[in-house]
Amino acid sequence: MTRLAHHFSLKPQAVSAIIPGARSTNQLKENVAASNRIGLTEEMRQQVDAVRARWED
Amino acid sequence: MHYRPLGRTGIKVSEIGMGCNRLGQDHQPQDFWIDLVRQAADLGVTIFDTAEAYEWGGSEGVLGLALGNRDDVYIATKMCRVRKTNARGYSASRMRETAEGSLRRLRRECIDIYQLHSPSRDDMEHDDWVEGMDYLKAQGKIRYAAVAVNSVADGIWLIEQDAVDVLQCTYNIFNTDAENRLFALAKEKGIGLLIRLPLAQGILSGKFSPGVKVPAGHRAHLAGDQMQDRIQKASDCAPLATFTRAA
Repeated sequence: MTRLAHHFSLKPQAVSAIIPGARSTNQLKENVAASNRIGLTEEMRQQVDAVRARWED
Repeated sequence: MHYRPLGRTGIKVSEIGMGCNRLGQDHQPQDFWIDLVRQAADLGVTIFDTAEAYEWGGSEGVLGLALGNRDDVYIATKMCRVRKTNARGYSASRMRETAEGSLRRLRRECIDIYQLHSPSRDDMEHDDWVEGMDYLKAQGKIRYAAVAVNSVADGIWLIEQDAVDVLQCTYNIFNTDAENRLFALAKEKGIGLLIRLPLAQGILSGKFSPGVKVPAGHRAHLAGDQMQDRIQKASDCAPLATFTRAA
């Protein structure tokens, strides 16, 4: 879930960096693990948007 | 770790930075926090975001001890909003003092990114902070001027005034306001963007379940009345997370 959330926030090209907090080595490593070349695909973004659309109702 | 340009500044930063608001909290010994910061740097993190307000300088102090004047990392700190003294104001004269305090605690010769900490629009319109930033740049005390903004509208206003090199704003699955003009404008003008609250106070980590009590004192409570609603929403997203590709 952390990775999905980070990929979401990293998707816009305008974003330079996200700055999640960490209070343990595990949290730190989980945050860092979100950095990869693939990130959030268009398809995943659409799926997240489909869930978000349900909240608008 | 992947690195991205910080707007037009010419530097690149790790796309995963470290939010340092926890550093120095007294439930862990100082050495624990110093070690955590060094681990982050070892993992390729090059951008650390702190504030004089965090642990009343304690967070900056940890960064100073852990990283000192290293030139392969960038420190973003913020002035104002120190609850203990209730000192306020974003005047040039105050900024000279607060920057010196931060530099001393950070054990650095220069602050890479100097930010106003959540000022109101009224503060930004009436205080002479732009002159303060220019003065500190000319003195070599700071490299880039920034504001951690309360709203997307404030961010757009600042870019239109050509008043900052970098902005810090909120952007996450719950709050996508920044997609409305701010991202496009920042890209066009070459303004670096630091994104706070990607996990919405930890709620988007998925560690809380709807209806289950959140421990007192957890940052999730900062979401206030929205906390339980957001925990429910995070659980709505959880099924999608299983499909997220590993590195």
